[in-house]
Amino acid sequence: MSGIDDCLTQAMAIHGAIGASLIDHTTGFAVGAVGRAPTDDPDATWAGTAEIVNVAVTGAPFASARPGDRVEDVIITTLDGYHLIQQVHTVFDSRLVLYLWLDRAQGNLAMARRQLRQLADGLSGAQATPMAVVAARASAAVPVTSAGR
Amino acid sequence: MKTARTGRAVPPRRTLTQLAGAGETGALYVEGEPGGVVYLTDGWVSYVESPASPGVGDLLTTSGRLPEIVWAAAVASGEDVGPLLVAQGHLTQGELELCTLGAIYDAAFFVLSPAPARVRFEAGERHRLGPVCQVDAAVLGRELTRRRKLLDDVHPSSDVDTGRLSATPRAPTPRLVVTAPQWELIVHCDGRRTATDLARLLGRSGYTTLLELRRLAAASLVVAAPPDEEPKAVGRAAVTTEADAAEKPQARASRDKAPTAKRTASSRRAVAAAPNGRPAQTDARLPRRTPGQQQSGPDPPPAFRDELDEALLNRIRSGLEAL
Repeated sequence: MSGIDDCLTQAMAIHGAIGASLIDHTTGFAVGAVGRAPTDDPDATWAGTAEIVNVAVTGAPFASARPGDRVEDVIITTLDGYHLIQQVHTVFDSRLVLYLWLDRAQGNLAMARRQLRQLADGLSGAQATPMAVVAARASAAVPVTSAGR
Repeated sequence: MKTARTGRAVPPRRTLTQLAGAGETGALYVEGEPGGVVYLTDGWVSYVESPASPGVGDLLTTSGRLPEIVWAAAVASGEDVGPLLVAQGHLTQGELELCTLGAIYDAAFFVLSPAPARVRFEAGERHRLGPVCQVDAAVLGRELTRRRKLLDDVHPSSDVDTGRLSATPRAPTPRLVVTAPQWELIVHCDGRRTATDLARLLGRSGYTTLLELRRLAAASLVVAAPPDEEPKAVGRAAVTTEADAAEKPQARASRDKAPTAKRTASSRRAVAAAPNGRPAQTDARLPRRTPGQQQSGPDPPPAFRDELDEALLNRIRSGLEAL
């Protein structure tokens, strides 16, 4: 569908986007980056992003026991902005995340998240599976409601 | 034009910087262990390959993303493989770029190691993958330095990088958490494979394999034997007979990655080729060795099997006496 540069350009077109990059989360290296980074030292930003992803992916509290489950994205909200980190799932071995920094006043978190997911899927050649996502959410919601009664 | 620089060993990264600065196009061959080739296009790095890391083709086929036949056909076509696969609809442009970039950085880590090596530059030579993406040689160099430091931060010893790896038989703590890639590695550490073997077998990037192995070594879950040392047969009796000498090539043959049929054939020939040893002893041991030959793992130490038989016989005897 689209190459890395197209993908990042489209990410920057998301309403309220300040910066976007594609980061290798094993090494904290940015394969591609456009726009601004939250700090003066972009390398530190990317290394920090990689660290957060690794904690989420390997950390026991988030490692679901359900087979086939995996971390899809990590979202950090600050008073000033949203930081969206979305995993890019390729069939072959690559450990990449798409990172988007969004202005809090202008950006819409839910919309941006959807758009970023589509970009990540387009990049990795995966078919977007909205039904599977809905089903997973529905099943996750069941225990909560039953516990409430 | 052909520039031969085989004379003396230089740090390959310095040569690359010079060639990149001059805007050269061609292939920089780096000799040594593991060595490899860096392809330049107008001074930009367009592809790197090394025997120590899986290339684009390995990554795509081992993971099952592309059937091997599709890859082989694209290579055989003689056109630029990458753009051809995208044009034919087998891959998306994004996938091709991600895969190629990953392979470039991965192979460069091994090819452009700090150790001086003999290098040679073939001007004008291009890689069959074709134009996919280009990497700045200076950026590549900086990233490699960072990656090397990351490895040492995880675990300062480089034993696991080259040694034969085995998983520790007992876990060092009563409870442990391993990630999926780590589990994959532990399961395949069989005392014979090296980090390179594992990366190629599993279609995983060579660098991330090293990184995970260093983490596992730091957690005492994986240990490495020096690269040249053959796995030892423990408790072997000191009799070095001709039969022993005949057994060694056989054991080595069974350790090869050749297809099973070929392996059995060659090991059988090795047994038959020990005619003038001690026929009686060889014959007596043959039936017991047969099951070991069919296993892919190392033969269990013969002494252990002898002990087992003796214990069994003792138990039968005492059982009979008790009657």
